[in-house]
Amino acid sequence: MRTKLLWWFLGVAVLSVFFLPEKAFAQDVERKKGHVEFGVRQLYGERASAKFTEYRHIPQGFFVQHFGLDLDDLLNNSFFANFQGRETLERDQNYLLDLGKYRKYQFQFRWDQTPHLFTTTGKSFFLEPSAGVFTVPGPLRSLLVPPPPPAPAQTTQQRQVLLQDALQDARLLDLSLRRDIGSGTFTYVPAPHWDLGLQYSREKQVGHRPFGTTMYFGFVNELPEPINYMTHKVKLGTEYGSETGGFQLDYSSSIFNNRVSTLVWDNPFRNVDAVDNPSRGRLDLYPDNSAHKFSFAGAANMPYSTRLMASIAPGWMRQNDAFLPFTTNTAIPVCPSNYAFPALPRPAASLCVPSGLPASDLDGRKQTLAMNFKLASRGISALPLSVSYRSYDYNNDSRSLIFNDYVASDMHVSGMARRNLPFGYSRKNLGLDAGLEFLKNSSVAFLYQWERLDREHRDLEQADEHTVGFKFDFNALDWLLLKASYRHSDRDAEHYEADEESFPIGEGPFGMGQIHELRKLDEAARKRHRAEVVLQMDPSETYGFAASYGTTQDDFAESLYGLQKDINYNYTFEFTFNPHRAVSLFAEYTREKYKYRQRSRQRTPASATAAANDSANNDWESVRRDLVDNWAVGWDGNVAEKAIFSAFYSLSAAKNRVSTLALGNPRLPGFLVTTAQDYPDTSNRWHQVVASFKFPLGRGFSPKLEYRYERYDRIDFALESVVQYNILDVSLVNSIFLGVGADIPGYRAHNIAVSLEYDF
Amino acid sequence: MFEDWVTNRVIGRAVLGLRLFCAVVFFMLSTGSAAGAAQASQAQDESQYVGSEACKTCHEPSFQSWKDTAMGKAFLDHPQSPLERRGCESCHGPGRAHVEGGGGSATIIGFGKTSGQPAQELNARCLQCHEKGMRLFWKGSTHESRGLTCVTCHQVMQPNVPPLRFAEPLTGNRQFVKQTQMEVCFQCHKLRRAQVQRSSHMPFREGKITCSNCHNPHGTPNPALLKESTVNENCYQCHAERRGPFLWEHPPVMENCTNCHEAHGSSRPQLLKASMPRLCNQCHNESRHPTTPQLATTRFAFNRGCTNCHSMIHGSNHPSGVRFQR
Repeated sequence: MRTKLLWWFLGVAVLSVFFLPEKAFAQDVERKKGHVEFGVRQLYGERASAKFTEYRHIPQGFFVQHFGLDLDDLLNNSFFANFQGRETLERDQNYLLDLGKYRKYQFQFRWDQTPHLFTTTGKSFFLEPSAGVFTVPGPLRSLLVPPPPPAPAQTTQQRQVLLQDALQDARLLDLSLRRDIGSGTFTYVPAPHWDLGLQYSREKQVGHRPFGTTMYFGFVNELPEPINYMTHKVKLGTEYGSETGGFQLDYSSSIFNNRVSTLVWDNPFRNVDAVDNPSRGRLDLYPDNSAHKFSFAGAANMPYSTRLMASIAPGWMRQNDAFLPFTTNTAIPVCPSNYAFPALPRPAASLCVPSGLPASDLDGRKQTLAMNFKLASRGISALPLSVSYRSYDYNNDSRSLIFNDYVASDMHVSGMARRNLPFGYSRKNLGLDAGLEFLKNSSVAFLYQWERLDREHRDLEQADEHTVGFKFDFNALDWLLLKASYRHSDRDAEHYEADEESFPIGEGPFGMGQIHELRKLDEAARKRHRAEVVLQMDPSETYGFAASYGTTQDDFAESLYGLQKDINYNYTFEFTFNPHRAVSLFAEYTREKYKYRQRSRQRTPASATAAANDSANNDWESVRRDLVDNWAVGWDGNVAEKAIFSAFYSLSAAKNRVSTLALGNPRLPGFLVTTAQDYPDTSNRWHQVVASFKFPLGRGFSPKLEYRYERYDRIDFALESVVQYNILDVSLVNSIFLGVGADIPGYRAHNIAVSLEYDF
Repeated sequence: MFEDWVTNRVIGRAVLGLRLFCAVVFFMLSTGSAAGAAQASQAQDESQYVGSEACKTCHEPSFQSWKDTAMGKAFLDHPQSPLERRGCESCHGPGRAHVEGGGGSATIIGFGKTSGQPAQELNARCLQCHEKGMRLFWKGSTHESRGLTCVTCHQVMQPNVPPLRFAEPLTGNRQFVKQTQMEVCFQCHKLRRAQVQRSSHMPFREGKITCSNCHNPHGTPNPALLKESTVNENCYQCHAERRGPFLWEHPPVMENCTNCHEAHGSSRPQLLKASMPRLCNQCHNESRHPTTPQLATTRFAFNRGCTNCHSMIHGSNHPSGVRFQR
């Protein structure tokens, strides 16, 4: 039916070229007030993959691609109204309405829908009788739950067989989100130099996405996480501006509400609680929160072409959702209210979960304060200078609570006390940029920047980073543009303390803590070289050439463990050819190369029966290499006097490799690193071919025929294995991965559309 | 709530900052007359202006095109100042010498590639009216100091033209030299063009967001021309659920989302810079499973890797969520 509709529409469009009156071909001279494009579309090919419609909706049949109505001269040219829309009545539709009085006030209303499809292959036998509650159907659960002793317990393999059978009848899941945003903005100009503004937006996200849960160490149970978020935002502000300077005052507020705040799910293999074997699990999803911010900004134009700019923006974030109990597992003993927790290590027999929580909620409070001051001057025209100072405080005044114990994954009491650490930091920057203009639009400049980062509750309490560099811009000739820059940064980590109380706090009585020579990548001493060059040449109106090169090279020389090198290069070439005023051809190529090297050590903590194994012979190294190529060629222009043809082909191809090597001698006693193997290479390729033929007929009518071909290929061991839903994890004997099978396979899709554009 | 904030320890710095801010405003007002006088001294003799009708005589097509633009309508139909009433000469400067000289680029301010004026002089023409709003921090910004002009990205002589492929959010104010805003930015930021075409991407190419959702290219006091004070504050504009505060926080997450994610596009799932478990291995080697290389066939490596179990990795508010599993 749709194919017939397509051919019918195509026929009418072609015939219209011949049967329209001659005067329809007359050149348009008057300004158009509106436009619309509508037509029919037919899809072919293998397009079941979620990747094809990841953030879009491409229905077959009739469509309205876009429309616009521009009434800009209402009521004696004093008022305006324009309304535009795209993907009308589709799941990714969006609309914009502007109306108001020129130079006085304006209302703007916006509506936008964005789908996000995660997978089309997800399945589960869990039911969701109410939002966030997942149950196993009774008959199925009675099959999966092992018979009571003395009958022998099920083996993992037996459970797998049972699961495979159960999954035969699993329901297909809708694993997608839809984000709807509506907003209204009002701006008012009370006087020539003043502006007032008020904005409100409401954003709703509803759907499900794949989400991992765990009931015990060897059992991953993937579920569809229910999403039902609502975010309200309000912003109001005023501004004054004149030749002498200006200032802005703003207040913004954001209120986030999660309407499904917990996730509860059944253990398919257990219907009665037991220690180490709960009948259900419960997880706390993202809590409601709010954020508010004031912003004051001002700038003053001073003599000698100097401008002083400043801003100060205090903000605060709040979160006080009630805590859930430690566990839903009723078999875990609860300590008496007067119980005195013994010192570690705690005898297993005495383990119990605290009878109460140290507080009913976090009373989470964070305050931020951003302050910026900048002076930019061209007192001497050829010597531009700017000096800036910036301070950003991220203060966490949330309560630091001591939990005498907690329950690990609803299984058992951990035997460890924990305290949450309110992490915070303060960042200060001082910058200098001093230039010399040696020719028109051509300059060289020296750069310096200092950054100090003070952190609370992290391994490194204070770090300084100094950056020096230069930038060079040459644009004195109208056909040549050259921009280059280089920066060298040196970050110290002299006071790195691996024993500093930081998250996570050790590993309990048999834990080892982090290895002392580890340097976490965001805190480690680092030398960074960063260079960029951009060249653009347009020697004639016929030819154009552009190229760029960039590299960032991070060397973590003091990190014996952790990330040691992070190096990337990229270069691009672009070529344009305009053989005729109305024809343009282009070709582009980009290559990116990334290389990371990291080092770690496999470590086994001490147990009641064995000493710790923390030998350098168990060191291992991993190198990651990513290679990404991008190609594009295209044509845009007239093929005849009244025919416009545009076409392009693009390819994005990525290949990722992870190599891992044990550095120790496997023949030495205590060698542990038996799993240091290269991962299979992963790759993905996205091809796109688009050809569009448009025939402007005059009087605003333009039939259009468009063909799009997209092809996505992917090789990724991490996703390919999940389609089995139920996998024996070979790292452990007793482990099960009960996934939803969220695969994202490749696709090949042909999209043929015939449409009519009409400008009126 | 405000009282809580007032009593906390940032108050000292906030007050100090506010004083400095007030000093800037005071300075602005006190220097206003001087700067105004300087501006006045630069004003041209009125006799040097010829009016838009004279320009039309030779530049009729350009004038007809410009009069339908937002700026054309503002200047011709709703002028608010003597400057705007000058029409073409508001931007191109006084035209008498140009008219009397029979045309030529040396006697008028031109904005094309062959313009004889340096970048800051061209920009100054636009900043006569547009130094407010997003341009408050233009001077000394990255783009200003690299010699970019307003017309590197914008054109004002043509009415708004919808982009060919509609690959950007709807806007009522499009005056770009390219058909989409992203293509404007890609003129120099060529790597980004490749990144938005990667398999893991935000909906850039679907036209749902664009560069200016996160960046203000006209200058901000924030790093990387971000609109908000930090990377995270920027990300929270759409991902408010990850804002917290949480009982159990993951410090690198709270400090900077880009420690793990590449916002412009990645060939790894979830915009990650590296696949798990290697991403997590970079920092975690306390003992047991995070220190093991892990085979590809294990739950540590397939599907979502570490977050198969540690799914609340952005923060947990559960009393038993210390390991981000609850």
